[in-house]
Amino acid sequence: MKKILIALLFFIAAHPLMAQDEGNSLYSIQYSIGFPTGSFHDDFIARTSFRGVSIDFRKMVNEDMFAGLEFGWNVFYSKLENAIATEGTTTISGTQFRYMSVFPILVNFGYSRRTSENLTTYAALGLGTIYNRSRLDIGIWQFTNEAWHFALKPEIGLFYKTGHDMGILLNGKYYSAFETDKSMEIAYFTANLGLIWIF
Amino acid sequence: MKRAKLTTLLAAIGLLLFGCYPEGPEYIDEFDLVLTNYDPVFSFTGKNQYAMPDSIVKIDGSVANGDPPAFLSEPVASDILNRIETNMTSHGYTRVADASQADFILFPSEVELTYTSVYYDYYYYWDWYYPCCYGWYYPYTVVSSYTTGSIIMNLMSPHDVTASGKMLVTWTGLLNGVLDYSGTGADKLSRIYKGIDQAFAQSKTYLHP
Repeated sequence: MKKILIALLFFIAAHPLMAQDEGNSLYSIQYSIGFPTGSFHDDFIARTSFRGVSIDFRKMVNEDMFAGLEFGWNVFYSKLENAIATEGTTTISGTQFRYMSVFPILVNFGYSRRTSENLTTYAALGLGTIYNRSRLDIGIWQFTNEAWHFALKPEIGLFYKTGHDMGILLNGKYYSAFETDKSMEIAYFTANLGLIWIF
Repeated sequence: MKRAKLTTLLAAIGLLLFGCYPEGPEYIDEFDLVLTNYDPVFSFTGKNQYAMPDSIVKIDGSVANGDPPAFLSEPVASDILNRIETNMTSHGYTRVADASQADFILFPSEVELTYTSVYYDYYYYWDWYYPCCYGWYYPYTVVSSYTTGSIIMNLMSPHDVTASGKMLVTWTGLLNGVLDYSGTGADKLSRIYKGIDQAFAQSKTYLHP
């Protein structure tokens, strides 16, 4: 985990130098809607999250290929009334409030293709880590957990240039945070809409 | 130009992150909790008579201090006992007056605990005469407290004694919630009734003769 973080910090530190080439760097901020899937959906939170943000930095390494960094935050939440949980011979019932905050930190590699003068489509693969912090409230009791996961993320999207140096970005991402000894596997899909700036 | 873009980006991030955390409990009954537990070795089959006291003891340390035990006031105690009896009857049990003839003794009890937290807060002011500066008022103390109450139902088997010489607890039902002193008697009891009903409902697979 430390090595990944050091590599990411090195990348961030080096990035301002790379960004000096005008027009080769892209920065974006995206509003993110999250849809839980798999066991995350079935066992913890099924509800769609409308609280999310993603920040993306990209650098074109040639005409088609790019590499970049991504930071995100999605907050998943669910309220379960009269929820019943059984562990062994003990059964607890009551209103449960479930929260899951996920923070992806990923290095992205992708391929983009300009399909018209203003429209570019792309596909990318992200690799890195997802930090999650979960909380379960029942009665006056609160249970929290946190974990770092190894994570993968395929992504497809497009951006439409609305001006000389900016445009609108639309994409879909599928995050897969692998199970750890402290946390279940967390998988979710996000649909994102944002602004992109070209430097 | 670059600086303007960066400022726009940071402002957008700030707006998006602002107020991003979802809501929590809004009503006091959303803190209510029902817990049940049972002895998996004990067989409930063929045992259908139980005895129950006519009062609910308050666990407040009075007995440990050498004082006589305290009891929950009437008519609240009787209302709660009647609700427990209704649920026991619907599960197939018959209440008997003679405890020595009973298969079980159901002991209801009540516990109240008050949690208090103290923290310091402060607030700042802004004066339009001095737009560059903020000032600080002296911090003030905030005391916050809440009281939780629990109704505990222990179903004991007087014919089974544990290794430590105590009666075996075959089943426990516990209701826990934040006490609300503002409601009327009926409102308060409705939450307790709901909890008692739930405790028996979630035990129906094994709690029957």
